[in-house]
Amino acid sequence: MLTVAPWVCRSCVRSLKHAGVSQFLRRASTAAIPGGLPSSLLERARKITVEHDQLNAELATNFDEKIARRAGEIAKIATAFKDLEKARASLTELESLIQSDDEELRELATDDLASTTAELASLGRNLSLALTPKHPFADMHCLLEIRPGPGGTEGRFFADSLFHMYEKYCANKGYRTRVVKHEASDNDGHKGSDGEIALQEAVLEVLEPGAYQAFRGEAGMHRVQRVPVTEVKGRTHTSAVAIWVLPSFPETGGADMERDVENPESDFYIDPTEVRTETMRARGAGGQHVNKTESAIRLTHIPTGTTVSMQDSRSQSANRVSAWRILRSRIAQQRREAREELARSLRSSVLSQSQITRGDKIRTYNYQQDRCTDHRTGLDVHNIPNVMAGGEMLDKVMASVQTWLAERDVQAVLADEEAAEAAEGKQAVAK
Amino acid sequence: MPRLQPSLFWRARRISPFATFLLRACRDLQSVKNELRWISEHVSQAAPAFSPRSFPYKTRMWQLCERRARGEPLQYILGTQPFGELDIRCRPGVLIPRWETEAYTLELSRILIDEISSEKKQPMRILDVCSGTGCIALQLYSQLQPSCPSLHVRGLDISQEAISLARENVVHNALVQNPGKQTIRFLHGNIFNPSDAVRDALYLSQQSDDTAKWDLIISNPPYVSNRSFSRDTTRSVRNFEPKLALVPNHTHNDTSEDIFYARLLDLSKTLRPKRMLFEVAGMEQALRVVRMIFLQQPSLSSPAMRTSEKGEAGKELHRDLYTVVQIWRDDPSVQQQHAARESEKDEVVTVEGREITVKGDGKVRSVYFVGGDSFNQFGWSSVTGRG
Ligand SMILES: C[S@@+](CC[C@H](N)C(=O)[O-])C[C@H]1O[C@@H](n2cnc3c(N)ncnc32)[C@H](O)[C@@H]1O
Repeated sequence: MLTVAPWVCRSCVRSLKHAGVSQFLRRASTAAIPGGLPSSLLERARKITVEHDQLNAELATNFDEKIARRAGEIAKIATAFKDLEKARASLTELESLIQSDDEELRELATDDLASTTAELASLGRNLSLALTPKHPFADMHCLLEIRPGPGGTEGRFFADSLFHMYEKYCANKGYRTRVVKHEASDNDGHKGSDGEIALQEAVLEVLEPGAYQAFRGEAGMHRVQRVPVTEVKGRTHTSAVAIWVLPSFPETGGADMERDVENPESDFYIDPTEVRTETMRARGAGGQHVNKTESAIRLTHIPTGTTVSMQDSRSQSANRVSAWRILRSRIAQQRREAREELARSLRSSVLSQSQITRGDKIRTYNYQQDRCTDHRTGLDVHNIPNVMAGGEMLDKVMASVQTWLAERDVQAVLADEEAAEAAEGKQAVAK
Repeated sequence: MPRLQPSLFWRARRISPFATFLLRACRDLQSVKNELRWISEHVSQAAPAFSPRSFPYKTRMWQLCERRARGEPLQYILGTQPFGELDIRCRPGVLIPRWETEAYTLELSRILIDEISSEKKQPMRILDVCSGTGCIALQLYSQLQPSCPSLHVRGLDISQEAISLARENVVHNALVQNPGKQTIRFLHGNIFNPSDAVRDALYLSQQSDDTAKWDLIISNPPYVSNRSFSRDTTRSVRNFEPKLALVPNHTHNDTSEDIFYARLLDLSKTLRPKRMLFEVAGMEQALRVVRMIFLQQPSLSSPAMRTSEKGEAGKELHRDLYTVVQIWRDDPSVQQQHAARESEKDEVVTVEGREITVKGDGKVRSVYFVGGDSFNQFGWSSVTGRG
């Protein structure tokens, strides 16, 4: 697995040249990049390709593991760049053939021109994907936090439906999961039409490397439109459920992970003196005098006011461990988001408008029309029962979001490059 | 006993008909909800074929909730209590493991793991006196196993029921043993009147190594006074848990609640364990135990004592034989969070002129001693000989 480097942010992408390229990842995408590639991006790719060839030459005479690893890391960029260059060369050739006197040759060239231009676009996209930094949490496990929005029981029922949707989706995909928290709200014993309970809060942990990347597009408001079982007049209600996706550590983390938690530079580091722990205590003498299960625990991160309470397990120490895990994940996510926000504010306003923030609704589940719409990608799928059972329809929606995310990341990189280029240009003029 | 508010009753009613039942034992809605969930998880695990709407399922729920409403501890009803990573079986007749015990046991195993690296070559020996379900011994064994190639844990209890249950718990938690290298055993015996077999085990008589010593003697002995038993214990404890496990010498009315500590400290004079940890009822008992050990008459035959002056000087020396003397609260790993905490400095109490750190948050729960080199140097073997 690649090492996680949470301190990498997209606005610093230019410095990655020196920092190593393990953060770069190529992703499959069908999105087109408007306006071609900025020259600085091409320049960077060219330099990396030169480095790659040099390293390979060195390796041919003298094998060194460190060099081999570095060469492996940047191989994708070099290949993508060479493919692009090849296509560009053939395009130039075709363009000169079109000037030819030979009519047959001219026709052949014109035929090829269209396909080569299309190929060029897709190779350009590949290259920019290869150069796009992977999300620093991408390889991690994740926590899906599910909370009903304000409003009545209907939202709470739907929160439980979403909980089961993700649980089943993971089962279908063969992902291991663990229910960290599943708490019913207190004022209702009714069940929904599918036997769902009125949920107050649930946390589902997906125990697969890369789960964070696979689910991060699920974060946001999910809206439901349906006729609740309790609705006598048959009116459709609209309610919302918030999903938060947090990075989490594998329980038996590798040495790297452990170091991150201990390392004050890490997003996951929490100074224990800044956390207030409250436990439920019997009023009396405790110890042998009392045998009631008092396992609830609440942690408060004082600087941010973030609180986590846990009482799912009969073991207080188990609840404490879970609460700490959730707290770390929430704080890491908050820190990450703050940095992303900063990077965003530096970018062009057009791009920042296309950003989705936490409060935005990202998807609607319309039961009457048997339709699920993702508002970012505009994708509509039918067959709500299949979606709610975590079937291939949900998979389709999530895949479209992955593409959208990749495209958005590429655009951010391009925007940053352009901004940096413009700044450099200005400096040059000033001199 | 405070009367339940009627509104609470109605709110429980809306959760489920079982909830109103549980309210009698729980008295607040949040714990009603939690217990209801744990009970229903237990029922559906025991009979996964039955849907929650089915008759057998509901009948079973009624039975269990009714028992709970009569005050029977949830742990006896469900038959288990989680303890750290372990799942400890519980049965009437044996005391239920408490969360406070779990908290200091986990803290202690963290300390031991940290200290092992420097002592690794030696076998690690741990004695749990008054072991009950075996929770403490089992927990330490399972926590230390990965970092301790040579590890021997022994539990001792006077109750045959407890010993059987503790042995069952070894199997139930699938703890692996490795004869001669990593072992855990539970012995039936009375700490005040040990049989020959128990004496051999306590004094490590069967060890080939002359210098063999206990690295830790830990105990959660009966410490509730007769008066406190009727005044401070909850109904569920009084009516359902064994008095033998709670009140020292429970058949006599006038014995002190400290007699187990006196006995353990007496043993420590000859056994010279590297560390000791005893659970106590609160600050007063903790201070009595610390004073007891500071003032205890040193065994005069020990070389260090022989060279020292008698009386006051001897007392001084004994007090300073321990490099660490600490009092731990319920959550020993957590910084103290009382409003009363004014300064950044550790809380201390002074006993017989020595400052003692009080660590953690919550009520005072245990006392912890680590012997210094001069304490450990003179083992019982130089004093009493073997056998
Ligand atoms: C408070 S319980 C502790 C059980 C267990 N260690 C725990 O923490 O849950 C005390 C135990 O001491 C045992 N016991 C009482 N008198 C004893 C004696 N004279 N010798 C040995 N064990 C005794 C009881 O049977 C009981 O299991």
